[in-house]
Amino acid sequence: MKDIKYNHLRAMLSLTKASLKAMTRNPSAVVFNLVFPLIFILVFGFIGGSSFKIDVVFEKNSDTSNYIYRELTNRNTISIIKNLDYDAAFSELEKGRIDAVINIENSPSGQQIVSLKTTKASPERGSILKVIISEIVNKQNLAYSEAQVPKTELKEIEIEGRRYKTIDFILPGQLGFSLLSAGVFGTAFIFISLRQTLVLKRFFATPVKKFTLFSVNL
Amino acid sequence: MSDNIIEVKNLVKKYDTLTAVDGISFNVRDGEVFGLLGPNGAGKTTTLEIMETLRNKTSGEVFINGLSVDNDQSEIKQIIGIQLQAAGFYPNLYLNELIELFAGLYNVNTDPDELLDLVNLREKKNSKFKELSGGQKQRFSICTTLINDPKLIFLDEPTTGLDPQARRNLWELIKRIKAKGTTIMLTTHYMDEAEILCDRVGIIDHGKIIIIDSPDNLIDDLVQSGFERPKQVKLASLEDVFINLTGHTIREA
Ligand SMILES: Nc1ncnc2c1ncn2[C@@H]1O[C@H](COP(=O)(O)OP(=O)(O)O)[C@@H](O)[C@H]1O
Ligand SMILES: [Mg+2]
Repeated sequence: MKDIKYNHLRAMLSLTKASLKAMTRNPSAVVFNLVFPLIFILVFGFIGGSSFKIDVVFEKNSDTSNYIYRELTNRNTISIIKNLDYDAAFSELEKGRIDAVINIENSPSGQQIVSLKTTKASPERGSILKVIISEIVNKQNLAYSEAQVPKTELKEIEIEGRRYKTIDFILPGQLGFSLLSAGVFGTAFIFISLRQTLVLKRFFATPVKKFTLFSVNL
Repeated sequence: MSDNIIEVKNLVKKYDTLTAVDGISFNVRDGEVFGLLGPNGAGKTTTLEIMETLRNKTSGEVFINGLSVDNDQSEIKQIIGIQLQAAGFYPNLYLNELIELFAGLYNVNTDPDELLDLVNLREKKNSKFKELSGGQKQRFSICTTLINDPKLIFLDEPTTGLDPQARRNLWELIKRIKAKGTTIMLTTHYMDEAEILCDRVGIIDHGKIIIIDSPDNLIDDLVQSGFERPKQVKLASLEDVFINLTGHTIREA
């Protein structure tokens, strides 16, 4: 009689090793198990990555040699897009591809006017930007607190833009769901084929536990 | 402990309305080759798979090496080797990798070359199972039953569908396994095979065991009862002619 306790981990490791080996010899399995998820990860990665940046365009004749501009360029949530003329920037803003257009002017009276155009097509990022900019403006005004009129004035304008439709929220969910179900069906498919070819039956003739078999293929 | 490695008492298996195994009892002794003989559908596979803990029984008792199939399935599986009548192997793996996989599943260390030598398949170690001939498949299947160095192996119709050369080749293999002291429980519907291989046989039909004895005793008893073959027995059979003409060498192209 054997006294050594049966080691399920060892069974699991050898199963994993075998299924990986078998997979690399089957080109379609490689595509389904590796390339597809990779593509999806990349696609979602790009969609996800851009959501952390607020895209801002400065108008052409905007003053860029001031405190506010420097502060904004230093924030890493804000990315400043250059080489866009006013009309192009405005139409991008309407579509929500960029989140704000900013102009900083110095009036003859020495006052600084910051006009911030945000869009209804991108309300969340627009309002985050508003908070950021008004914080910077307040800081600057505090530094000039002895002045009669505030040094810097912030004008906020929100333009119309494409509003989000329900599909915009449902679509990522649906994609996620279809990915998930593809995964579940894929696993089920492997098991059905292993069962039909009686591979599973031969496995169950060894001391391996059902749980071990299932967890390997997940 | 008794020297019976298998004890079956009043085993019954019902599939819905069909009673596939109808109250059979028998013992298999340590070290012998026991054959379960019967026509197709007699209940051989069902009986075997209950002993292998792969199927549930309806009633009765089965002990393997003193362990009950009800409670000690995992322990039983560690000391037996199973060749299923119909089984597949994990696709796209080479024979030596399959052996390593099973070694992992059994938690044992093996040398794939040594095992493949035992069944004359070493030169096929980098082939896939599906690329093997019928006889080679059967030999590999038997090879996987030996991985955990079992006390007892089950062979379910190991020679069905093989040509005479491959059958004889498999008989030699089974004799070699027996010589190592392994108990072998096999099923077949070839009587010549049972006569050559088995120490004792049980004849099963419609789920009932009709008789259990050694092949010699069974034949002697029949002769004593006055039985005579209707036709004068020739000194050779057509199979002898076939083997004589085509040779013993096994064909696996
Ligand atoms: N899973 C099953 N469900 C229903 N009937 C079955 C099942 N397996 C076998 N049978 C029936 O049980 C009987 C015995 O089958 P089996 O044990 O496979 O016979 P043998 O191996 O002797 O040819 C047959 O009539 C068969 O049709
Ligand atoms: Mg059968």
